[in-house]
Amino acid sequence: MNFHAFHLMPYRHLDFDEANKYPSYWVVLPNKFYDPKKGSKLYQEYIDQLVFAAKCGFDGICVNEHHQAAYSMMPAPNLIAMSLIERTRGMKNTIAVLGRALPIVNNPVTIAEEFAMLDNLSDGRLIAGFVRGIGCEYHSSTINPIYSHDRFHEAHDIITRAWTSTEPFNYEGEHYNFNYVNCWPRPMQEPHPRIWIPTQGSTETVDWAADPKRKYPMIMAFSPADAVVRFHEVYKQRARDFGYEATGDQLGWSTPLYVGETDEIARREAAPHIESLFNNFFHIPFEFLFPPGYTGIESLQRMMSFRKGIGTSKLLLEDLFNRGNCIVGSPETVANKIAEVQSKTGFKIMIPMIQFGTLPDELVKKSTQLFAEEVIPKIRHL
Amino acid sequence: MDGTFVCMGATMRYRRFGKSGGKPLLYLRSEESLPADAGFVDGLARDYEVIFPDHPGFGASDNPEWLRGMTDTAYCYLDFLDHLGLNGIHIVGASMGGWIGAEIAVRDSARIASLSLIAPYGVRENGQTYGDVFLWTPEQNIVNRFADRQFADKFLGEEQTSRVTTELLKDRYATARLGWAPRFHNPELQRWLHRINKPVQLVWGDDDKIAPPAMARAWQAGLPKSKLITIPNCGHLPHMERAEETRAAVTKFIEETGA
Repeated sequence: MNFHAFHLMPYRHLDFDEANKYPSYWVVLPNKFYDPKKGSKLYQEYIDQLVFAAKCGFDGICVNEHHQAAYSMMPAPNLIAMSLIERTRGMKNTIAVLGRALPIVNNPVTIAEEFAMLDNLSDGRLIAGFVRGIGCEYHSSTINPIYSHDRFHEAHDIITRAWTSTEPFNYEGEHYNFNYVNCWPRPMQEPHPRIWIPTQGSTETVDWAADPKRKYPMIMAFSPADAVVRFHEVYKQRARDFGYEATGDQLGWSTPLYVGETDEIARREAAPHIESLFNNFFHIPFEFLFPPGYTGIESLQRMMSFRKGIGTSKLLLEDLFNRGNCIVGSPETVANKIAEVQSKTGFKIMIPMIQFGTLPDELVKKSTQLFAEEVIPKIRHL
Repeated sequence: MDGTFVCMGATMRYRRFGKSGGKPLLYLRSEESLPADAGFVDGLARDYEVIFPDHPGFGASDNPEWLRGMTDTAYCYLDFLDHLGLNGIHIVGASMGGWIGAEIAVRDSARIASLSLIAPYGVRENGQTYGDVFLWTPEQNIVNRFADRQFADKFLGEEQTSRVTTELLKDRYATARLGWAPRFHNPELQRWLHRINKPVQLVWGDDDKIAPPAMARAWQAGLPKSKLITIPNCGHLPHMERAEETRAAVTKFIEETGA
């Protein structure tokens, strides 16, 4: 099993009482609530945390992209990735951008170029994540969500072809047109950087990622443990339908995770911060999360039937833990929980979110170190 | 009678009813699935022969593969008018339907006698923005459509049934397809408004929270001869909230054109 430390870089100094007066921490929360003096220190703190994780023995470190939200200070994750590359020069750990939101850009060739640069600059340590972005991204970018899937597929085709073609080519699509695609520099890895697909498990994405033309690892993000098991199984079944057996290297799980000396200490220390992630930063009304076309009408109705949106009713750590939305506990508890899911699906990519919500620096570092020293050795062999 | 028209493989459904031998009136409905166009349209049907389609992608009409934007909708309607073979058509369009009416007429108004556009989308006055109907909750979407809260309350209950929800979602998806960006307007339409060489009347509620009444200035800049009727204490759907007043204004205008 491999271990990758993930970070959202939330603006954790937010004035929650003020922010709660707005319908969401996304799209419409005024940026007057962001204090650059505090934010610039947070960037240093968060970058240090990821470098610390790499030095503690995580195999990789990961960042991702979100826009116009207190939830994440990384509208341009490649900038952070570059800093991480410099800070881990000479080390073996991978740098994953999980991922870039392809459909919301008008020129996906720039994504191919920037990832190719990062791959060269990191000596081939890049993992390239491709996502559609969450629904909020379509409100803030004004890209029409009706074309989200189509643009994702076209952008993916352009980027992978840009990485593998050694001659200029032209591209004529429904949404993107280029007379010349000619990616200088070419990426370091052959045939191209590893591609991971983070998802909450939409059927279209599972089918597409499992296709033998791609076999992209699918990273289940922000899903309860039983949903992770279910969608890993769907992926494996799709692979069988395609005529091959998926390996554990194609299956990943990303989840907020906190390790303390004991279960009791871990829960006490993590509770307010995990609750701030789900109840505050992740407060997203349905209309923000699912603009028309982001999913098909039938999937939308299915989702409407069982939830109004994420974070629309208050959740306590106990609920989140019981539902498997996070892993919190002693090294034994954490190792057992991961091993339990691993025994069901065989997944081999474990991605703890080492910081979440308002979790302060000293607790992030303590938990990260405990995970590296006391959890990883117990389950590395899985 | 119920009719169908097949445009490049996609079926468009329409109703044709009203005064036999009356002037033809093409009613282009607003985008939301509220069941209340009925009173207004039935009123018009007393005086005119009404043709009431569901736009491509909306209601009972197919969602065509080829539908990418307003250009497709407009040319589909021009094919439809050719298919009907009618001339002297009076277009009455509300909101999205008003926008569609203008997009048809700016391309070819030969078969058209007049346009009555009720709080139409389609153009934008500098500094004015359309209400973000895609970010609003379903309840806000109802409440913000009317000036009179009591009027809105009548729809809040009906909105809950799954039948309406399915229709509402289909219309909402089609609305996004046509109007997500640029939001509810087409700069090219605005640039060429003068091509509409038939009488145009604009009807606007003075308390429209979706299409601010100031948008009418942009219409009148492009169509200096157009007539503007402002209805007091009325929201985005004058044909529902002030159905009789709006019907009377439309009828008066159609008759004044003499066509």
